[in-house]
Amino acid sequence: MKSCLYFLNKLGNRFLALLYFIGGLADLTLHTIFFTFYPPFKKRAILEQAERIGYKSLPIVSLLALFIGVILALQTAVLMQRLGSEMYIASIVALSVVRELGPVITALIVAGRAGAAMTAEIGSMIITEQVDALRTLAVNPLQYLVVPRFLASMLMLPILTIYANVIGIVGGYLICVYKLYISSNMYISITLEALKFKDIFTGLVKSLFFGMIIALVSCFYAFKTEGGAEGVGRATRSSVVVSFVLILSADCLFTSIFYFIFP
Amino acid sequence: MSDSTKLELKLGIFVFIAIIILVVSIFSVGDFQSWHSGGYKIFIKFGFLNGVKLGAPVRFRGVDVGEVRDIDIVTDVESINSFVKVTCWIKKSVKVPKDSGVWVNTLGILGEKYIEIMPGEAKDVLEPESFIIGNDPIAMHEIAELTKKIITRIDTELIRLKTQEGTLGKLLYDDQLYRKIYTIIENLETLVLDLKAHPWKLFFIPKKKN
Amino acid sequence: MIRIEGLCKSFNSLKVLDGLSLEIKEGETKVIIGRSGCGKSVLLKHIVGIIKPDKGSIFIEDKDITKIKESQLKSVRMKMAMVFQGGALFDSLTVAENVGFVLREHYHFSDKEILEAVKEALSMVELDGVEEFMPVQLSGGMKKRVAIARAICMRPKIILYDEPTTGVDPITADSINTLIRNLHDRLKVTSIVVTHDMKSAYRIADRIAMLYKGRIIAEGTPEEIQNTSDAIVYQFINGLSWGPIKKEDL
Repeated sequence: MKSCLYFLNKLGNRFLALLYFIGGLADLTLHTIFFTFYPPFKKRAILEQAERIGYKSLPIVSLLALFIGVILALQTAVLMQRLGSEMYIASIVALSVVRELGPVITALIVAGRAGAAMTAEIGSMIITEQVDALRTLAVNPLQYLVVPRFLASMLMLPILTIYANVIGIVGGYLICVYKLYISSNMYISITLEALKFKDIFTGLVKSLFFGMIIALVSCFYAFKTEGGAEGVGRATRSSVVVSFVLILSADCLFTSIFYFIFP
Repeated sequence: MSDSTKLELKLGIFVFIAIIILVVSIFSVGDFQSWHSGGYKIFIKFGFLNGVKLGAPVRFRGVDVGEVRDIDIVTDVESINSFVKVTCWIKKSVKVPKDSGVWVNTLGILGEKYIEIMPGEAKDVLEPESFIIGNDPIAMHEIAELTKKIITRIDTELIRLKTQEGTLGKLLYDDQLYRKIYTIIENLETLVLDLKAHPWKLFFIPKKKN
Repeated sequence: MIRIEGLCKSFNSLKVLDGLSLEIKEGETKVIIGRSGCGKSVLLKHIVGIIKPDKGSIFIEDKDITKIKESQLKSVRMKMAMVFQGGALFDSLTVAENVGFVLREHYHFSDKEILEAVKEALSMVELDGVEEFMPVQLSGGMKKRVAIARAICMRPKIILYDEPTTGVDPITADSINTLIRNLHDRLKVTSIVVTHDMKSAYRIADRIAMLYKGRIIAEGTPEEIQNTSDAIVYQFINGLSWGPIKKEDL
């Protein structure tokens, strides 16, 4: 009986914490969107964040996208060779990379790399009272810290995804052309034939939302930091984990919307 | 060059390349050309469609020339008769004669359905937004039904053979008939040998018995 | 100038401020003393409007800042500057950018004008030639001076200091005390200093108030405080481990 009550109590607390989280994140989202359109605009800060989130993530995103393309081609090759239709490898690689893996892998890398850095940076600004200092200097921390990261992350993710898509397809190309001896022209024409404008478009829209999720979740946990260096570590960990969960669940939602409700 | 402009240049190159890739890929992927170049719509009337999907290719003489844009079931309110109206988009350059045959066909191992148009002999071209009647594909269940019918028929015939009904049955199973035929052939052989030995017998006309 | 009435604040059922009332006159330097963790910094953060109280009001020039909206708070904040305990300089900006931060964010000055204002502010805190340094390259005492320079660059009417002499050596502490005193005389600002360093309190205070258990229990000039008859205040200012204040009391 006692353990049952304890369990229910714990469950209730968890649920309450979830509601607080959703409410807090929604509040941050609305305020951030409001301040995005509210002058002054921090062009320089946006550019700096864009460099950190986009430009500096490019090497690692490219590397992983290449691996993904190679792995996809090798995996489907096993199956397709059994069916005697290696031609389908090109379309399978192209569609899976452009629709799903490109946007998702890019988002996960950026969440782990730039998102964690965002949380750690703002989190340590909180514990060293720099954020309080901003407020006493009559600067809104949301506008000064969150909005540039939000905008940069939202705009850079689709750009990185474009690179990831191309490099992923190149990975598949390398395997198919140099290992399975499918002709280069054929691979390209099948890839282009299989891809639809909608696939590219929905992939980029998804990555736009992933960018927003990364910036908002990272900043949300950063602003909740308390208790010194350990607190910064805790906040960073939570922000990465929650970003991952939200990115994949958002992807699930988008995929079902794009391919089942609006086929 | 100051740090600030260097940063802008770096980002500028980064974003510019991405946008170029995007534009090029959008212009070269499968369905952009169809948006770009003009085309027209025709309607095909089917009684049965066998699962053709939206966006399925339309082929003319075996060449991809368009796609299925819309599939509607049109029902006549009074008679409750209905048919399938398939809207196909076809490239402007392709002229479909009025008496062309339209079929639903299956492609590749994955069983993707597409619409095949084989041109007829007519000199009149099918106008945009006009109807053409499609040849209904045979449904699996119809094929099964037909096969069943044929097999039943064959089966009854076989039974009749076994029970020595009909000429063929008797021919195959009646020993008496065999013996009779055997005797006939034997007799025939003696006759032929006799004739060979005595050809004059051919001209021999037995006297009529008065 | 500043009037605080019946201020209450709790954090997770821990009562930090419990009906605190205090008045600060224009141009005076008020030093608030009390044990570490008794809520002095919390009080300062209430005055600048970073923390909202559970109950009570704070009037700054007859405007109750606990009742007005965040957007209106900006004009109030522009009149106040706060010097944080660790300086709270922005790590990603140089010293010059830190000091000129407000000018850059809120006014349309040219870079040259800002640089001049920054140099002036830095020379007021007796720091020269550190404009291009990053905050990590500075010592604790220098950070505090830069923080003070950043505060005076706002041309505030009120400056709030959070433990200005904590964490620096006695000589630097004394120079900071002198600096606070000089700035007060030169700029005619109202100052509120929170500290538990009695030496510093006597040096800079016009009036001293003691915060104990969420309230002000004593107030007066440095002489009055020094000659107090209150056992609690006596124990605190003389730094005695025995007396009415127990280890766990704040």
